[in-house]
This record gives sequence, structure tokens and C-alpha cells, in this order.
Amino acid sequence: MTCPAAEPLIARYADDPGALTAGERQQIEHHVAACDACRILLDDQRHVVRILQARPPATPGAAFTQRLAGRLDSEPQGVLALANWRAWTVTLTPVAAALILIAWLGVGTGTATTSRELAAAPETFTGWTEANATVDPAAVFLQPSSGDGLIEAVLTGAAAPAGERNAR
Amino acid sequence: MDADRGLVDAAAAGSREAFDELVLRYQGPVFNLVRAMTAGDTDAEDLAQEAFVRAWRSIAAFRADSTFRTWIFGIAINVVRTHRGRRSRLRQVFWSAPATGEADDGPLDRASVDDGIERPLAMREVIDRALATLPEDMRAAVVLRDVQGLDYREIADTLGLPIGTVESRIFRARQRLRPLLEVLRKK
Repeated sequence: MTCPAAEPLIARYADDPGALTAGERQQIEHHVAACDACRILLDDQRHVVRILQARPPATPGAAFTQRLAGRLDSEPQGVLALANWRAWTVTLTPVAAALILIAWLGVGTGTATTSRELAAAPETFTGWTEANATVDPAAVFLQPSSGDGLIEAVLTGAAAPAGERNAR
Repeated sequence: MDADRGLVDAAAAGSREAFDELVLRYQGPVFNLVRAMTAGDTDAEDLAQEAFVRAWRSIAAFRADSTFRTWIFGIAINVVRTHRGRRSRLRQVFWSAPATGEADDGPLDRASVDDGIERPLAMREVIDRALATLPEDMRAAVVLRDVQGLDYREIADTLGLPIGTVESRIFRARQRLRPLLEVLRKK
């Protein structure tokens, strides 16, 4: 092991030898035993670690919590809530459940109604005449026209056939 | 498993009570980190508070693959960086002298450590002034390790760096600190 390669391991060996693997520990111990310069580096590292670890912690003033609470209170809750997908998820879960229930009930009712209507509906278009088309524009699609007359009328400005005119 | 996970989830769902509990748990460590990073800056309390305000704003975006501790420490370090960047720009505007770290209150000396009943405070001041002479990347790594007690993996997560880079920065930071902390030897 070279000295530059040993340096990062020396840093860890100085503050927490147990964090190194057995192989790393063996490597660094072997190197330091043979290298005076790295042994001095290890001593220096340990010295600094001891001092920094003994630094008396700084504590915030007594009013810190209260002042911070005041700042947090003034934060815009609306913006927070909009950005907060977890809050959305939790809040909207009952709403989503209710919507699903309503949709399920609605589908059930709708299906019954549709079945009744289908039962009453004519099975063919025999009853459809041009007269129907005058009250129902969509009926133009049931007429035998190919639509060529309608296109021609649009292009030339001429009167369209009756069924197609109703559709316009 | 993050011991704060339950509180974080509740806070992310909008619970201020849960977030207040997280504040109580971490206000000391966060303030201590900011103080160590800013050499006892008088704005340290404001900066620590700013870190919590930013955390509250973005707690919904908190990722489950890190702990709340590393996350809030990362935010605090970013707040300090922003603050120092602003200060540095102001210095450039109003002073011609370049900024060379925060420790501009004179040399470190033994007298400041031996001044009676305030010794723990004086010791902290000496350490913080020594830390302030470090480049910011080294300072963050060594403060997180030796002052805050994070392990190397947590530091790598907090700073978004490979572990090898963290080890290297800590090693070099300690080498730079050693002569500056000589006044505290044999105390």
C-alpha cells in the first residue's frame, strides 16, 4: 500500500477502526507499522478528532422554538397543500371511495334503464323517413344519400338535396 | 429504519404537530451544525430556522431512501452556503479586501482558551475559528463527522458525494486543522 492510498483509510482508522473491514484494518496497521510519516499522520488525525469531538455543543436560545413556530405559522398552507401529494392522497381517499360507490350504483341503474329502452326501441329503420330528418339532423346519416350532393352544394353554393340540406 | 419515519409521514400529510416534534428533536443538532459551519455567526439562529422552514415547505418531496437527519442537515448546509455566498458578494461590493474564511478576528492563541470560567465557550470559539479557515467542502465533511457524529455513509448521502471523496476531504481537513488546534493540546 502506498502512502496516498493509505490516507483515506488513516482518516477512518483514526476515528472508528471498527468501521473498516478486517482486510482494510490489517492493511493500514501493516502500513503504519512500516511508515513513520503515516504513523505521524495517524497521530495527528487522532488528535484533531479528540478535540473536535470534545467541542461543547452550541444550543439555540430559549425563544428559538417559539420564533420558529411563528415563522411556520406564517407559511402559506394552501401552497403547501397543493404541493403535497401525500396530503392529497389522504384527504381524497374517502372522496374517491364515495365517487366509486356512486359510479357503481349509477352504472347499475343506467344498465337497467338502457335495457328497458332497448326493449322498446324499433329494431329497424323502416319507420325513418325524410320527415324524421327535419326534426333530427342526425337522421341524415340514415338516409340513402352518399353525401356527394351535400359536398357539391357546399362547393358550388347550390341547393343541397332535401335530406342533406336538413343535415346542414 | 429511520426512527423519524412515522413523524415524517405525518408531517408530509400536513401535520404541524408531527413537524413540531421533529423540530424539537433536531433543533439542537441543526443549530450546532450551523454554528460550527459559520464560526459562531450571529445569524446562526436565523439560518437554523430557515433550514426548518425550507424543510416544512418541501417535506412532501422527502425521499424514503435517506433519513430525516441527513436530509435536514443537507438543507442546513445549503442554507449556510447560500448565506455565505450572499455575504461574499456583499464583501466584494463593499470591501476591496478578499474574503479568506470567516476567522478574521485575529490569531488563535492560548489566552483565549485560558480565560477563566468561560473555558468551554472559549474552546468552542477556538475550534469554530479554526474550522472557519477551511474551504467549505472540507469543513462540511469534517463537521458532519467529528462534530455531529455522522458515519461516512450518512455524510456521503448528505453531501451527495462518493465515500472515497468524503474520506479524502476529512483527512485533508484534519491535517489543516492540526496546527490551528495546537493551542488546545495538553489541556
